[in-house]
This record gives sequence, C-alpha cells and structure tokens, in this order.
Amino acid sequence: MSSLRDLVAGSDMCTPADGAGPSNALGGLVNTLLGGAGKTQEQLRELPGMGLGGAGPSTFTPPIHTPAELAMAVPSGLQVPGLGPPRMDAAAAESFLHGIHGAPFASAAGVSAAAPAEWDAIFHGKEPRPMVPMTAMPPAAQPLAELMPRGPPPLLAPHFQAFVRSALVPGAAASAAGPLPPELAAQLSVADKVRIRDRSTIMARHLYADQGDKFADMQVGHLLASLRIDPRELPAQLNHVHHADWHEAWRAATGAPSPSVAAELAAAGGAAAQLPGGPAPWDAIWEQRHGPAAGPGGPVALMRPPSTGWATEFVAAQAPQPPAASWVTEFAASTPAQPATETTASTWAADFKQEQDQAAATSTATDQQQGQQVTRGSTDARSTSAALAAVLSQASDPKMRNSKFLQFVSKMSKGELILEDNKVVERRPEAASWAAEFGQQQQQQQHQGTAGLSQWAAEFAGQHPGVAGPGPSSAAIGRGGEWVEEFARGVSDLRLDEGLDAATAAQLEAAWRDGEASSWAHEFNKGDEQQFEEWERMYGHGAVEDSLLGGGMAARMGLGAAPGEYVFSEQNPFLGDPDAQQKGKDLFRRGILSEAALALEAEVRAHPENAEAWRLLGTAHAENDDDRQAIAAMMRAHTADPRDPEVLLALGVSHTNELSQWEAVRHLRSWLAAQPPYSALDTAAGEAPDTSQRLTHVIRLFESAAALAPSDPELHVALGVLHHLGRQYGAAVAAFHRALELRPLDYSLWNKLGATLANNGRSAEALAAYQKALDLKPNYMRAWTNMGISYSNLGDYDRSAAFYVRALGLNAAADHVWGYLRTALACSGKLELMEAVENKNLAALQEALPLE
Amino acid sequence: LIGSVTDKIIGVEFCARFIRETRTQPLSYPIIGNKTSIMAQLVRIPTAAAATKASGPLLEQLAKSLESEGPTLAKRIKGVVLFKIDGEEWTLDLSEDTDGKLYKGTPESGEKPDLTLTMSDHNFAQLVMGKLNPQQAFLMQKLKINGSMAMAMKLQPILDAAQPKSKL
Repeated sequence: MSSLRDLVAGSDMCTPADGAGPSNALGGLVNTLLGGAGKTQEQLRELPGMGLGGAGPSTFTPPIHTPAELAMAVPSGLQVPGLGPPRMDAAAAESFLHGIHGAPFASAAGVSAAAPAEWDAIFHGKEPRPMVPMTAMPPAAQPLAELMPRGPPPLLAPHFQAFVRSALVPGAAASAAGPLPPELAAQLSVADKVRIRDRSTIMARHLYADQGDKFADMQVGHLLASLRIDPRELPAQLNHVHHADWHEAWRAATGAPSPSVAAELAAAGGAAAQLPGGPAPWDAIWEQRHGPAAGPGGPVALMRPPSTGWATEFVAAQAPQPPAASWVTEFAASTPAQPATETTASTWAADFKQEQDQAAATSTATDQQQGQQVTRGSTDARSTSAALAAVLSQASDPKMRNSKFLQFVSKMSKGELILEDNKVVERRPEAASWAAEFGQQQQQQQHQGTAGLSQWAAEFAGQHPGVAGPGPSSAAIGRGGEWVEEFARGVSDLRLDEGLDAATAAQLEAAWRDGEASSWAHEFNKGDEQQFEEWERMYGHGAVEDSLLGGGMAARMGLGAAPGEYVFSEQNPFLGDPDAQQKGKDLFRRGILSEAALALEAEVRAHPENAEAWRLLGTAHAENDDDRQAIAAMMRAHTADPRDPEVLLALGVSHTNELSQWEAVRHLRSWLAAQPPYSALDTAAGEAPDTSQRLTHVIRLFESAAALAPSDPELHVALGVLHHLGRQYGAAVAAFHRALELRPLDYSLWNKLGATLANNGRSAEALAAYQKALDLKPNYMRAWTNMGISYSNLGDYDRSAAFYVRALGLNAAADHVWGYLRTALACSGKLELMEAVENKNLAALQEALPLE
Repeated sequence: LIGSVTDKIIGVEFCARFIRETRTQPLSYPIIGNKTSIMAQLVRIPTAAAATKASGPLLEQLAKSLESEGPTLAKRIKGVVLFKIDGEEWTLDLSEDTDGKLYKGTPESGEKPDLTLTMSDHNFAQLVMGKLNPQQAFLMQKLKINGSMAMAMKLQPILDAAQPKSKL
C-alpha cells in the first residue's frame, strides 16, 4: 500500500521527523525508540505515562508487532492540520506504545483503562497551546480532536483503543466498550465519519496484514458499528467537504476569522474541484497559522497530510509541481550558461543541433548523390531512391533515422551497396565499388551478367598472343595470361547482375582492337612483375576486405592490401639502384629506418628471392613499429629460407604484438626445432594434448631447453616472449633479465623488457628500460612510441604527446601513432593542436610539444 | 591523370579513364613510372574513419584483444554492445558462448543491441585511457547509455582491452 511504501521509503508529504531525514517516519520511530534526538528524550521524561512502562525508551523491547508500530508511526509522522510538531507526536506515540507494550498483555484491560485517562490528562494538560496537541492515541481519534477540541475524545478513545488493541494484543477480542451514545454519534459529521472510516481501514490493513483485507474490513466494521457509523451512508470519497471542515476547525480554534477570509474559504470550498484555485487560500491560512514554511518546492505541499479525498486531490495537484519547479529552475539556470560548459540544456541543444546539422548535411549529400545518379539517368538511381525511401519510412525514431541514413549514405558513397533486382544488397567494398562505379559510369544498365566482363578478360587474353613481344617479356606475358585468368575468375565471383551493356562491351572491344590500346597492353605486360602481383592481388583474387575486425585486421590498412601481403610504398627513389641493398644496410645501421626500408624495398623488388633483404626489411619495419609490414616481409623471407632462426624469432615477436597467439607459438616452436641442440627435445615433446594447453605445453618445452642450455640468450628471449603471450609477466620479465645479463647491449631486448613491464602495469620501470634502449639506439622509433604509451598510462598526457610527436618525426607513416597522439591530446585537453594533427603538421606539433 | 584520392577506391575510375585517355592521348610517358604512382595511389588509400579519429587505433586494439580475451569477455558481458562514437557505429558482439567480434555498423543480425553507448570521440579516448571513468562520464552526461544498466557496469574490461599495448 502506498502508505506503507511512503513510510518505508519516505514520503514527500510528511514533515521531517526529528533528525531522521526528511520524511522517513520509520526512521523517526527508530530514532525515538533508540532515543536518538535530545528533544525527544526530554519530552519523554516529561510525560507522566512513562512510569507505567518502567524504564525509559532504551529498555524498550524490540517491537513485536512491527506492523502495529508502523501504523502508529504513520500518523505520528504525518502532519495533520491542527496538530503540533511531530516531535511531540513521536514521543506521544512512543509513550502510548510503551503503555501498551510495557504492561503485561494479560492485564491489558486494566492498564489500558488507565492509559487513556493518563492521556486525557496529558492532552488537557497541554491544552493551553494554541493548537490542539496531537494525541498519539488511536490515530483515528485525531480528527475528532482537531474538529472538536472541546469534544469528547475520551469517550471515543476506548473504541479506538479497543480497535487497536485487538490488533496489538494477539488473541484479544475486539471488545468495544459498548456502542457510542447516540448524541455523541450524531456529533460526528459526515466528514468525520468518512475520515474515521478511511483511516481505520488503513490502520486495519496494516495491523491485520497477515490476516487479509477481509478480516481487516471486518474489524473496521466493528469499530464503525460501535461508533454508530453506518458505512453504507458514507460517500466513497470526500472532496470539497473537507474544506468546510477545515474552515470549521480554523474557526473553532482561533475564533471567527475575518469575514473576507471566511468568504474566500467558503468560495474556495464551493469551488474545490478547481484545484489550482483551491489550495491557494489554504496556503495563506496555513502560513498564517504555522508561519512560513520552508520546504523544498512548494511552500505548503509537503506539510499537508495525504488524508482522503481533499488531500489526495491536493496531493495530485501539488505533487507535480515540485519536480516541475525544480526542473524549471534548473533549466532556467542552465540556459544562460555558456555553450562551452557542460550543462544539460546546452549539451542537449548542442547534440540536437549536431544531429540536425548531420541530418541536413547528409540529406544534402544524398540529394547531391541522388542528383548525380539521376543525371546518370540509370534505373540505378530510381531503385536507389526507392530503397532510400523504404529505409527512411521504416525508421520512426528521428535519431535512428539519422543514423541509418548516415550509414546508408556512407555505404552508398563507398559503393558498398549495390542494387540487385531493385533490392539494396550489401556488397563487399572493393569489388563492389569497382563494379558499381563501372556500371554507373555507363548510361544504361542491362542484365548481362558477368559475361560481359569475362568476355573482356578473355579478349584481352586473346589479344596477347597476337602481340609480339621481345624475349624478356614472354615470361611477363605468360604471367599476364595467368593474371587474366585469375581476373576472369575473380570477376565471376562478383556476381554482378548489372553487367556491361552491349555498347560498353563494344567500346571495350574497340579499345582493345585499337592499336593504342593493344600497345598499352603490351607495355603493361612489359611492366615490372611486382605490378602484376599487386594487380593480381587487388583484382584477380577479388580481394575482399570486409569491415570486419577481429579476425583479420583490415580497416586501416588501405583497401588495397590483403592481410599478410607486403605493401610497397610509392615514390621510391632507390628503384633501379643496383646498390640498394648495401645502401639499405648502411641506413639501417645508422638508424634511419624509413629510408632503409625504402632502399631495401627497391632491392627486393629487383630481386624478390633475396631472403636477407626481406629479413632486414622486416626488422626495419618492426623497429618502425609496423608489425603488419614486418610480418609480411618476414613471411617472404621465411618462404625463401624456412629455417632461418632470426626470421622465426622475429615472426614470433611480431605475432605476439599483434596478439595472434597461435601464429606466434607456431613460429617460436619452429624456431626451437630449427636449432640443432634442441630439435630432439622438440620432436620428443610432440603435440599439446589440446589447443587450449598449447601455450603451456610449449612453455614447458622451452623451459626444458633452457635447463639444457642456460647461456643461450635467444632461448631466454623466446621464453620471455612466450610468457608475455600467456600474460605471465613476472616470468617474462625474469626471462628477459636473464637474456640481458648475457647480452646487455641489445637495444631491442631492453625494449622487450620495457614493454613487458609496461603491459604489466609497471610503467615507471618500463620507462627506465626504454631509456636504456634509446641510449643504445637513439632513432629507435618503437621505443619512442612505447615511452609515449607508458607516459599515458602514468597519466602524463602532455609528455606522452611529445613522445608520440618525436616518434612520428621518425616515421610519419605510422597511422596508429597519429591515433595515439589524438588520444593523448584529447586526454590532456590540448584540443587546439588537433588541427595540426588533422593536417599532419609535424613542424607545428614539434614546436608545441617539445621534448626537453 | 587521376582525380583527388578520396576515401573510396578509385580503381574503376582509373580503369575507365585509363582506357578513355589512352584512346585519345599519345602514349609518350613512361608507363611504368606512371603506373607505379597510380598503383601506389590505389594501394595507400587510408579509410577515412581510422585516419581522423582517436578512436580508430583504440578500436583496432580492442579488435586485436578479442582474439585472446574475446571468450572471457563474452562470458562476462553476454550481450551485444553498440558504440556510437561521433556518429560512427561499432558493434561489439560479445554474446554468450562466442569468441567476440567487433565490426562497424549496427548488429548484423538486425537485433537490438543490449547496450548502446553514445559519446564523442574525445570522450571515448578519455574513457579508454582511464582519464575519465564511466560513472563520471555518465553523470557528466558525456556518455549516454541506453539499454542494460547492468551491462554498463561491466564496461571497464572492455575499455581496458582497447588501451594501446606496448610493443615488444
């Protein structure tokens, strides 16, 4: 029931009980029971009734009938009009309880007979107070007290007490003290009766909670009967009637109010249905009687008790106001705030604006796109717009609409969505966009299937033999043929429905037959083999890149790269240089890693079988913090020489960095197997019992090897890497320390040690290790990046950003480090530098973030 | 020869234009050199998302971490989380008994995500780096949460998994 809930959770309708928080009547009860508030103690001592129960509140037995006490407390927490401060109530309630509980149950009758008398004495003793003091007697007596201050509460009291006692005292019969004399019964107004009925119902429900509503109602019926109240006569709810009663009470207590007020009251009473108008005069009266009340929200709302009818209406009227008011004040306070501050209103406004802008931008973008497509005049556009419309109409929430819109539009611009039979179908980006754009460029769509393109490819192949090429290119031509076949295969994979129309095919044919085109093809064939490989990779395999991360990292790599393939850089000044390898080595030794990589790339392009060059290239990339390229290069070296231990170890390390556990373990194990001293161990160890134990199995293998040969630094390095994989950072650090003892001048070892410490959260120690690495190799870009990461972990975002800038100075192509730089700037709050980051303006950044 | 390199693949434009242009212009330039540049331009087109946001590498790191930590996270979270970072949507599928997946866009199966987190790129970076904790962010309205509050409480391990790792 709501009243119980109010009691337990605190109700805004109640006045603050002393010291127990704003509205927790139960808390108030507990406080008083435990003597929490000083004033309560005082009042308790004042009350003569205390003697009855013996000791003071501290010796109260824990409440036996909690519901009863709750019921007691409910009214005591409430502020009924005309009542005194709640402290009095709580104390009085407590004493009453004491009177009930303290006495042995058996002699309840005798004691309780005395109690009411005591209470009457107290009441009348307190009479001189301007207001009628609250009687903690049966709460149902309160309305009587307030309404008829000179009335006969004592006479009614026994009835109420019996009512309550029957609940409190288990098994005691609800023995009423005889029915009320008729003249008294007649004095009870309808309002009183209703109030009695309602309040006693509430109480009964509490008291007889375990016995059910029906029983409770029965008890109430008994009470009403004893009071000669016929429940059937009473209205179900009282509305304006209470206003008049309150008015009566007012008049009775303080004499006739001024006629104007009375008139107001009468008018208000009559028009009680109009709630906003109603409470106002009451507010005035209330304030006059009780002084200005300082409550949160409305001045009076919190002090009114939720009694029936009038009160509930009043509650309904007032209740929304405080929250509304507070919201309004909050909003008013926040609206004049600067946009920069993070107030609710401004952020909301900003967000909304942003979304509106986005919506506007995308709608204009879409319009443009649509326009473009319409000018292309293909059915494509119509179906696109149809699809757009369908999507939009399905989304009801504007925010959702915007986001789907954005998605859709962005996909369209990337060509990920193409239309198939008038349905929007998602395609994988690369192939799809190629196909879609190609199709769109033509003015017409015809469903020719893949035949068109395959034809084209076949024609190209057909053209080939016809083109006489010089000797060296015959091999190239052969390759070209392969490529064409692959291409044709790949194209058919694309499942294009909108193919080339006849006109397009004719155009292409013409192009091929054209001398220029065929010579182009010829020239093309003469091209570098590497070109073919790339071409093949991109278009032949139909290399598809999902936006799927997790299994294979694709998103940031540029759409041209399949995972595991080496990506050559543009503009390589070393191309064609016969001395490239030597130059590369020199540059590497000098620590100029990016240039060294270029030189080595030139070398491997010229001599793809040069394993050493591939290996060095891989190492350069690893030191430049590009594990992906490092792996690609190392794999090429690996294919050339599968047993090169350096390659295998490097692969293990790079895969560990990329968190590809299985690959790393595989390579490290191969490394072990490739070393003559340990190969026997490796074969002896065999396979792990199951995949989840693979790592531990291999670790054990390595440890046994280490036991065999404790002075092999590389073995300890490998062991350290394995432990790092398994996140056993302590063991990894120990292994690296052992390796460093054997090889103290290995800069990459110091970096490994530092990285292990950092990943273990020991960033400060990591910094020391990185510093050692940098002492040994000042241009060690990876170490610079790692230092930046460690500073970020330590919270020093400014310095972290400076280190990232330094790292980028060494390798500006490291996209992820640009991202880390943004992160550090975001955390350090240096947003003004974001623009420089957008423009990749290293000079400005270096100036802004110097390293001392 | 080639127009601006945008974030979409321009392979087809190149192809078509190459054809057109070879028909009209004499082939006097060294093909190899030009092809290199063309190819290279095809090769190094960064995707817009990762290049201009701080959240890019963080999400990549998260994706990588899923390989090793995915199952553990899935056991804890048992749901689908949708990140809306400056309008970009990323779905982290940590359904029960899966290995965890992270991909761009809304959940593949079309179902509603169990938890949707909306925040700016800036704030995502701060959350991951530990500059801001999720409760603070929520209270300061820097992070909007829709969906399962219980799941939102378990956000921290996901954020930790997105932190940049030091490289061996």
